[in-house]
Amino acid sequence: MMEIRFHVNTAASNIARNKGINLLTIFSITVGLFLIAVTAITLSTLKGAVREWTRGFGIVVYLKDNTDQAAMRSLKSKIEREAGVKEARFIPRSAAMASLKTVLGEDILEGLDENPLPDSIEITLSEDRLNAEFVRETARRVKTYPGVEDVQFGEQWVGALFGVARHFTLAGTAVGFALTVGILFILSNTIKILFYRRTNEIDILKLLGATRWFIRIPFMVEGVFFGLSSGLLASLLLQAALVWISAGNAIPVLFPVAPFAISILLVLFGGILGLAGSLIAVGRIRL
Amino acid sequence: MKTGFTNMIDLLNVTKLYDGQQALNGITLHIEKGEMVFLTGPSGSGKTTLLRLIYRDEIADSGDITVAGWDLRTLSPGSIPYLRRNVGVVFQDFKLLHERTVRENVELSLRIQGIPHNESRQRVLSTLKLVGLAHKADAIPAKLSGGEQQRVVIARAVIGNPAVLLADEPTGNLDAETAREIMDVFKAVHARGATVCIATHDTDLYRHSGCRVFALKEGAIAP
Repeated sequence: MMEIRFHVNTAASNIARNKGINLLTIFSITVGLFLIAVTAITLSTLKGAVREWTRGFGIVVYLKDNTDQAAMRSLKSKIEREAGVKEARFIPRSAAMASLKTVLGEDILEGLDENPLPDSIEITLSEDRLNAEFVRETARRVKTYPGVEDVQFGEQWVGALFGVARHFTLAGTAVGFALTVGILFILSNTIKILFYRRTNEIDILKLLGATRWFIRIPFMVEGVFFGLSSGLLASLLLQAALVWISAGNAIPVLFPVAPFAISILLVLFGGILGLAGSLIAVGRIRL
Repeated sequence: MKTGFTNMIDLLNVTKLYDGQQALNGITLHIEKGEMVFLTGPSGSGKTTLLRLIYRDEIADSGDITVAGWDLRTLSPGSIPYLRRNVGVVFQDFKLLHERTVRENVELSLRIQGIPHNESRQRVLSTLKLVGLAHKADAIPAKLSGGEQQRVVIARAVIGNPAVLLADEPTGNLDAETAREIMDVFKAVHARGATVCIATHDTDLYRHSGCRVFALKEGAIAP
């Protein structure tokens, strides 16, 4: 415990001695952490929006004309047993025609002698299984069932929407990764600079019998300090930005976790990056 | 400190080269436990190099060195700090930390050894008393005279009760009166049981000391 206090005191006096470079480092990491949080929230919002848009997506199964009631019931229960199927609703051809008349108007369909629409089954999928691949695969399987004439599921829409969401997720992950690497780079370089500024002091410590870890620990404390203080500033900045956005009521923001938890995670993430950055730096320095 | 050895410092046929130039040439010497000796010779004769080999700041090109039971030829890098905790060094250029007070500089040796602050505080005070600097405990080294800074270095070197105390020209920049006072401190440390090895070209320091003197000339022990 006493040892830790000594190292923390050493780190504190070193931080106080190098205000310029320390402030610059904290500012840079703050911006990086803020951007990571913004990226995470943007992705979460986008995913939420896609989920919302695709909530109503389903698969429509058109049945062959000569399918009898028993075969229809059997087909319906078979579909209901499919993984990811939330609901399967039978739509008789008469109900389909009534629905079409409501949409298009009685006049347009007046000349028809008989109902050309087939009986159908509307499948609603569970929200957690709504991805293009799953929808496509379920539709392909259902199409092979006896009594099925055709299957429609708005393939292009689903594919395009999920494709966009996937690309955004990939791009966001890449941006987050690049920012994390950038923060680690800044941290480790700052620690290295601080280390080389203190080579004289370190030489003396070594001559007095200091172990490598005795010399390294204050630098790690400094790294954690940079990370934690940057995380704290970034979370304050983020909360201010969120207050500003919600005041304008411009975008319905969806959070990956609760807004308060984001702040805590940012501070913790900053601290972890600080420790990792300083470990990279002191690990590379030959003592 | 290791146990089961007779001499505190043993050098056997030690040679050291710098850029092909011979700094030490076949040095053999033995210093007993609790002995106080002097290393003398003109500038460039190899005194500092010899001391640096003993506290493992340099590695011999050939020959064997044993210090307080540590075989320096086979000593791993991870063990060097533990050797150095047994070898106090009074550096010619002091090597003090100028952002820290006298007290903090002296205490540093104990903190490195993991001795807690409440225990080290008392030891710092008694060691500063030994070197006559208790009243300057909170001063910054830069505000002290050369002699006072030298005493701080001695206090820092001896506070951990090292088995060996090495001093490189400890009175080099001091007036005769201060040099005598510094020598009194070394005698006090020696009286506490430490093996002391002082490198100096000041003949007055050892003339009437009754101690063994190793004279170096061009990297070799003069007959």
